Formats: sequence, structure tokens, C-alpha cells
Amino acid sequence: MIEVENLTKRYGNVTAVDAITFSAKHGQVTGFLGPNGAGKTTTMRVLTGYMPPTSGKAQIAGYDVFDQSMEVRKRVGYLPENVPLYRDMTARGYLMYIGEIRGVKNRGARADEVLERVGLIDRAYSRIRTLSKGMRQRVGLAQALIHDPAVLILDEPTIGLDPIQVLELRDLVRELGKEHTLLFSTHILSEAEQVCDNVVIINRGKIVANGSPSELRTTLAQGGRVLVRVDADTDAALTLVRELPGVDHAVVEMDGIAVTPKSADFDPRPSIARAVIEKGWNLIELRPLAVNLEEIFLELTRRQETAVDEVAAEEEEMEVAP
Amino acid sequence: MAQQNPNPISPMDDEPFIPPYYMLVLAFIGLVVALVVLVTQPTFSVVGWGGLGITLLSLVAWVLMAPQQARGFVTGRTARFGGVSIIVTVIFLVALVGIYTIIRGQNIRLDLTQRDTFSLTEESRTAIGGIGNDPNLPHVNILAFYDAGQAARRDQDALLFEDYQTTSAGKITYEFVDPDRNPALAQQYSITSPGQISVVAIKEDGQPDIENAQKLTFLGQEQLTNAVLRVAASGDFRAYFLSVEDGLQLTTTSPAGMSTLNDSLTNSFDWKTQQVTLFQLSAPEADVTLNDPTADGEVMVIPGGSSPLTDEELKIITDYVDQGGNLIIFAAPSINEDNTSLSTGEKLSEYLYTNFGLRFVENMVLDRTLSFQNPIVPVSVDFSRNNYITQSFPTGNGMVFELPRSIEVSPTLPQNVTVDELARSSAEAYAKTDVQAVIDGNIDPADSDQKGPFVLAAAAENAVTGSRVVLFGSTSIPVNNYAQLNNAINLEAAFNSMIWTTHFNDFFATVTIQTQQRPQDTPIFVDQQTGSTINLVTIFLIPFGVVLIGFLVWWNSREPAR
Amino acid sequence: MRAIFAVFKRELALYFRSPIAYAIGFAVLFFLGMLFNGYIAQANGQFPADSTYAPNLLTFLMFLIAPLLTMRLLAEESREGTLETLMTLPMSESQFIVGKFLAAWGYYTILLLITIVYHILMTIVGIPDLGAAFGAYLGAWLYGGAVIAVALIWSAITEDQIVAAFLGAATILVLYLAEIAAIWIAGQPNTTSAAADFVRELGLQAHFSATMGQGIIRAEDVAYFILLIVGALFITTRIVETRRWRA
Repeated sequence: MIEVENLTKRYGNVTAVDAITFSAKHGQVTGFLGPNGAGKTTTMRVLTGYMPPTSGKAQIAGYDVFDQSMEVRKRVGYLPENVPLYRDMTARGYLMYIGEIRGVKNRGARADEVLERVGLIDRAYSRIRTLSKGMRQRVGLAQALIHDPAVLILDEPTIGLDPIQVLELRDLVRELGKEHTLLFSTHILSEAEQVCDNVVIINRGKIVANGSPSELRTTLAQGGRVLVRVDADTDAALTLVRELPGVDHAVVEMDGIAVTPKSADFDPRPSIARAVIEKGWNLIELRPLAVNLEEIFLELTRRQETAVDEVAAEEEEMEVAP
Repeated sequence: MAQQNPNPISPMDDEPFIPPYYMLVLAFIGLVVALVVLVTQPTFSVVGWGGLGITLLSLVAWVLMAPQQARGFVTGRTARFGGVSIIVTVIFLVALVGIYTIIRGQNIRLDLTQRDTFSLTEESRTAIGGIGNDPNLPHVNILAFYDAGQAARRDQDALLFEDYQTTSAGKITYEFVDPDRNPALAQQYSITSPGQISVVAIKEDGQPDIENAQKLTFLGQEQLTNAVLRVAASGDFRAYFLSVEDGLQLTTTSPAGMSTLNDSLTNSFDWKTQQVTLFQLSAPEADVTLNDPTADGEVMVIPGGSSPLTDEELKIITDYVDQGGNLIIFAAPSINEDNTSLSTGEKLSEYLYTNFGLRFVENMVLDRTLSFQNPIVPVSVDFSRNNYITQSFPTGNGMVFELPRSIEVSPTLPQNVTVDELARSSAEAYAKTDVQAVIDGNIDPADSDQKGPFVLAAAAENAVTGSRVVLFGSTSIPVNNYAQLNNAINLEAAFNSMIWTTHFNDFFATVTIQTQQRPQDTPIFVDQQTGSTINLVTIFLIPFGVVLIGFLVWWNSREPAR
Repeated sequence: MRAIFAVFKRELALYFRSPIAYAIGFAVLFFLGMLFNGYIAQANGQFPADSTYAPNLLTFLMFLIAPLLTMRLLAEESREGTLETLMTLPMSESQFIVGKFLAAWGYYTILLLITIVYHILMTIVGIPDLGAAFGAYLGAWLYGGAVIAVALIWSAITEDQIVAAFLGAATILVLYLAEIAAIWIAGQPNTTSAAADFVRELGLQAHFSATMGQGIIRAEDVAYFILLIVGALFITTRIVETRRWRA
């Protein structure tokens, strides 16, 4: 459904998106994962026709996002990052407005349907300015759904929500993903893990990884650090682990021991487990340490050796202030 | 911009040595040059054309070098990129200016007003149309000397001028001249301040006839139409005023002179007037030719005179009249020592009576009921409606006859002669034959007096010779004294008689556009009641109504309805 | 077309829900009412009825009204970020901007139509020249549209409403006073009358006060206003587009 090939977007001489290639299939949720300033929003804006690409090609449902922008727009529902809404309108009035511009037939019924879907039907006639952040997010989502698009593009839909709202929204996204081609961006790995069928990790405008969450986890975990928690004396455990073959170094961290292997391809977990069991200690926890995104990026960037720090810094600024 | 590929899909490897958009920049520069030349230079010159040429050439070059981009211009895709976008915008705006210029050149105007300020009235239209249809009339140019501060007026007045031009089928043209920029021309036309208009005929050699140009100090349609007619009518009309004993003087400005009549003949209607003696007329070495076939019309005027003409003198006149000449006589009263008058000379009377069925009577008409200040100055208000001279005189106006004598109309008119009794006294008038007695103060009516009404002015025409004769029973008709008098139409009578005798009215119809009162011109009238209603509506009802509606809207939307 | 109408409807409704529309309406109509009364009192028994009075006055006031009407239109959209949603809908910038423009023009049209009351009052106290009135109203309507379109440019350029309003008013004043500038240019040595005429015809007054405002419809005046609208909207579209694409 979404086909992106060598897509590049430059602002002046800053490259925000650098020749990325990926695709998203129908009936799947594709997560766009990356830190702030990675180029997620830019990519989404290009895909929705808000911005033209500098070079490369992107197609949605077989239509070029630039050459056939209007065709693409008809088929895409988009929720921008900050959820811009007309605060003076009622939720329903706003949906009616968007629906009218989109040429949605039977607007009233459709607006109610969508509001029902996002669970906002009881606030249909409330002014948007009186709604909470989570509700607004849902109004934004309803807006993206009003015309029943084939493709849904959601830019950081969970940002700024409280944990319960986040959970609700994730459920909704998962559900929607069954019917639509859903592309959504986040900077939280666990979220991507929970929701997505496919994850594209992007940093500094480049795709650094692409695959299903489990695939990625395996890939990342292999080269990543490992956390060991043992029910024994910490110093003794530290000494034990450090002496294991393949281990570069180990430090105390988060109630446990963080183990860094010498080679990225080497998974130290089996040997750690065996050693602990042999010692007769109880192994409480053994898992890849890089579960949070920042750590994965640290890992990934260490491998990549792409050192254009200044450019990245600039990019970040641009992303922050669009 | 150089590395920014306008088409994101096509590869960039076949970029030419000179990037095509340089051509656009070049076109833009050329355009700017042309514009600067247009604005700052008096003529468009080589540089301006060069700039335009460069613009055109580089545009063509650009289309050839980058056909894809050029197509993008049409489809509006490439057009949207950065620097190109600015150029496209400029080109778009230039195109708009071009459209504007074309439309401006079409000169399409529509006057919706019901007033006559910007369009010709019916009267003017007829007159101006007549000029257009007459191939003998010269072209006329209207020069409006408006300065830069009068640009708005120029726009307005162009409408009226345009109407002159179209109505006359292009015979009348107009142009605007800024007197500040073209002082020499303004001086030629003796323009003294901006806003004045000069109307000038174009001579056969194509040069303007500046000498006879008519100047208007302000634009009035009536004045302009008349000025146009005057300069267009290059007719040769002559009036010979005879110098006779105790006669009126043509150029004298005193109350007894005829300068007012003379001025309007010469200045407004371009007549040639001359005061001559009969001997000058007859002398072969004189450059005066009576019955001149090259003249469009001529008339001989006898303004009073105390002694009868000699036979020789009379013969000059009768010869002239017999050959179709025109004659106007203003008869003086017989109040000299011998109680004689030129008008009642025996030979003249006999000639007039036999040839035109008219003669002056040796008497004095008095009127106590209809007179100006004194019974010896009767006023006639009874005019013939059949003759051009008097037919248009409005009722309520009078012709003032000072010490008049009556005119006798023969009961049996000579063959081919028609007579109009132009003006008659009232029925209460009475005539005394003893003029001396009247002079001595005996002005009361007596039984022996003839009873009115008397004919005080009459016109006769011989259909065979074409000769036209007009007799007035008094010299008070053409003099300055009564020219300005309210409701007195003496001067008009004198003037019209000259027009009628010479057929000047056929030569062209003078148009006097009635400054017709249109209903739109009546001032508004607001009484107390209406005034306060207007006050209430405009200051309270409408503005505060708006506020009220606003308040109601706010009130209703305060609590959103479910 | 559908999108234009949708935008137009929303924006026009918004005018009538916002206090500013009523504030402008009140101020303008109160001011006109005061002057109209003064005029009536002065002309009573002196001058004929003149229905071009109100529209002529309104065009002068447009340098204040137009920026107030347009300052919000685009500045707010880009500041609030709502432009991003709208510009990913199947609607081109030009449709969006035309819709917005028509809404502002629509508001002005309503204001202008209210002033027809003055014409009705004139018919009570005298006989106004209908043709002149029609011309003046048509002219004032086109004039208003052109001026609104020009003021809209500034709303697209800056996100600050006050700045947009101020610059809009300044631009309109400059266009309004072009006639005076032309006279000044004509008075300078080394200039041509073409230059003066060019500047004059660039301005608003040359196309209204002496001609349409008096009931003379000239094709070039109508064209001027329409082309000014088209040109200004074109520029506005380009600015919105460029700003969006450069983000």
C-alpha cells in the first residue's frame, strides 16, 4: 500500500530524510520508530502530500504522492503530531467540516459513527477547547477516519497522554490496523513492540533497521548488552561474569549487572546462565538490556559510525520548531 | 536552486551546461529594463525594445532548453519551486498587467448616470451628428489642458469627449495636454490656467486653425457643443451697417451703441461686420462687393437715420435688394428739427410698399397699459409664431419699442411676397400723427388718435428673388441699452432677424442645450419629522441593531445545545 | 468547488460568531450614520440627493476594515498548525484561499448591503440618481474585494495577526494614496507623464472615485479590481505553498 523508494527531503543543505526505502502492507500496523529529529514527521508529511520530496519516489495505493497528490490525499487519513484543531468548533462540527471538504456523503451519520468508534460520542457537541488532551487526540483520529481511508498515517498519537489513555489508544490503533494500512510513528520502543506488525527504525534521516518486532529484538539483542540479576553477592557475581569468555566488561546497574559482550554477534546469555547455575545461585533475571529506545540507538549508532553530529543537531532543531 | 531538481522523479544527470532557469532570470532582467525605460524615459527607445526582445528570446531559449520545465509552467508543478516560483509569480503578474492594458485599450465605457454630465444630450447629439454627416465641415480637435492634479477629471471628461468623437463619426477628436509639460502649446492656445479647453478646427493642410480656436474656461456641454459648432462652421457671413446721419454706431459701447450685438456676431458666430457708407459700397475701388456669390450670406442694416435717402443712395439699396439682397431697417422717430426720418422717406416708402407691401407710418405709438416706465416706450408681447425671428420667444418676455412708429401692411401683397407681422402692440395702444406735440409732452390719448393694435415689426420675403426684408419701428431693438434688460428680447430680435435674413439658421442650427431640470437635480427636502426618523434609523437602529444581533448570537451559543 | 464552499461557509459563520465582526459592523455603521446625518442636514434644501455617499465613504474606510477582516484568516491557521491538517485534505491551496477570501468578501458584501438603507432614506427625501448609485455600489463592492485580497497577502506572510493587520492597512493606504504620489511625480523634473500615469493607475482611487463611484463603468476599472483580486490571491497561494513546503 505504501511504497517508499530512495526518498530524500532536504531543507536547504540540511538533509532531513536521506534516501529511505520501505513499504507498508495493507492490514498491518507499521511503526515508524526513531528519536526526535530523526525524520519521522518529515517522511509523513511527504507521504500525506503536505510537502514535496526533494528526490526519490513514494507511492500510496499506486499513486505518486507528488504527481497525484489529490488522489493520494483522498485515500489517506492523517493525524499530525500536535493534533491541530479548531478550538472554537464542536467536535462534531469539526468532523462535519472536514467531511464536507473531503466530500464525504451522509456526513452526519458518518460523523456520529466515527465519534462512536473513537469513543467520543457523548462529547460530540462540546467545543474542542473544553476537551482534554486525550479527547482531542481522539477527535484528531476521528478526523483522519471520517472518509474511511485506505491508509492511516498517525504522527506520535500517544505523545502527551496519560498511561490509561495511551493504552486505550494503542488498542484502537491495533484494531484500526486490521482494516487499514496504518503507519504510525513513535519514539517508544515498547509501544512499537506492542502495536506494530512491522517496525521501521529511523535515525538522522536514515533507516537503521526494518522488520517485525520480534525479528528486531533478536537482531538488536544479539549485539546488545545483557542484564543479569542473581540472588547472590553482587561482587562475586560481577567477578564471575567478567571472567566469562566473550564478555568485554560488566558493571553494576539497575539492581543487576550489565554485561557487554566483546562482539556484537555474540550472545552471552547461554554462557552466563550456565555459569550461574553451575555456581548454584538462583538466576532471577536474564534479558537483553536494550529495551529502551535510547539504548538501542546508542547500540546502533555505535555500530554505524555515522558521525555528522552537527548536522544532526540542526535537524533536531528543525523538527522541534516546524 | 541549482541542485534542486524541479522534477523529483526524473534523474538529474542530463543537466545542460547552462542551467535553463538562467534564461528565466535573463527574461526577468529584460523585463525590468523595459519597465524602467517605460517609466523614466519619454520614449520607449531602443533600450526598452531591446529589453523586451531579450525577454522574449530568453523565454524561447528556455522553452527549447527545458521543454519539461516549460510544460511544468503550464501544468503548474515546476512553477511552485522556490526561486522559480518568484519568477513565475512575476510573469503571472506581468500577464495580468498585459490583460489590463488590452482591456484598457478597448475603451469600453458605460455611463449609468441619469444626468448629462458624462454623455451628450439629445440636442447635442443631433447637432454633433450633423457635423459628422456634413462632408464640407472640417475636422475639429478638442484640446483639454488638464494638469497632473486633474487626472480624475480627465478620466471623467474623457467619457464626454469620447461621446463627441463617436457621435461625430470621428470628425471630432480630442486629446489631453498637460500644460505643465507642454507650456509652448498651452501658450499657443492662450491657456491661462489648467482645466481650460480649446476647440480648434483642422485646416485642409492638416494644421490647426489656432487663430479661430475657441477657448472654454470650464467644461460645460452646452458651451463645448456650441464651440465645436462655431469652429466647424467656417461660413462666410457678412453684415453691412450703414453709416447714416444720426444713425446708431456699430462698435460704440454706450447705451445707444450696438457693441453687444456686434460682439456676439463676430466673436460667437464668426461674422464679418462692417460699418460703411453707401458710397463706400458703390465705389468701384472699395473692396466691398454686394451680392457676393462667394459669401454664404449677407445683410444690409440701416440703423436709424434722420434724413431721407437721396435717389442715388436709394438706388444702391434697391439694386441690391432687387438682386436678392437682404435688408433690415430700424426706424428712428422723426424728432429732429424738420421732423424727418430716413425710414419714412417718400421714395423708400414707395419702394418698400410696392415691392414688399410694407411701409413705415409717420406717427408715434404710445401705450399706457403695456409700456416700459413711460407710455412713449410701449412693449410688444404679441409675436408671430410663424417666423423664425419671433417664434421661439417665450411668453412673458417683451420687445421694448422706444418712440416707435407703426408699420403699415398692404392689404394686397405684391406677387410672390409673403409678410409676417412679427410684433404687435396691445389693443390699448394709440398712435399720434403729430409727433412734435408728443415731444412737447402731449402724450395722453385723444379721440383723433388711431387705435391699436399696431404692427411694430414685420418681415417680408420675396420668394422669387429670395430677398428678405425686416422692418422694426424703433431703433431701440439693437442697442446696448436694452440688451441686458430682464425679460426684454430686443437683442434676440435683432440677432434673429440677421440670422433669418441670411439663412444662417439653416447653415447650422445653434444649439442651446436647455439646462433641463431633471428630477435628480432637485435638492433634497427633509422636514423635522423625517429628519428625526433618519437620525433614529442611521445612528441608533442600524448600529445598535448590529450589536443586539451580536449579543443574541453570543447568548445563543453560550451554552452549546445538545 | 465543494471545498471552496465548505471553507467559505465555515469562515463566514465564524465571522458572525466572533465579536470582531459585530464590532466592525457597529463602528462602521455608527460612523456612517453620523456622517450621513451631517450630510443630510447640510444638503437639506441645497443639494440634490446623492446615493453614492455611503459606498464612497465605505471604500475609504476599507483601509481599516479589510485588514481587520483578513488578519485572522491565514495567520491563525498557520500559527495553530491547522493548516497542516487542511493541506493534507484533497483541497488545493487556491481552493482554500479562495474560500477564505470569499468569506471575508461576503462579510463585506453584507455590510455594503446594509448601507442600502441610506439609499432608501435618500429616496424618501429626494430623488437620487439610480444609475450613479448602482455604479457606486458595484464599484465599492469590487473595491472591497480587491482590498481584502491585498490584505490577505499579509495574513499569509506573517503569523502575527497584529502585524498582518498593520501591514495590510499600510499597503492599502499606499495604494489609496497612489494618486497623490502620481501628482507629486508629475511635479518632479525629469519624469514623464507615463510614469505619473503608471503610478496613478496602480492605485485604487484612479479606478473608483472619479469613475465608478460616480456611476461610470469603465472596462479597465472593473478589470483592475478583478485582476487585483486574482493577482493578490495568486500571490497568497504561492506564499502559503512556499511556507508549507519549506516548513
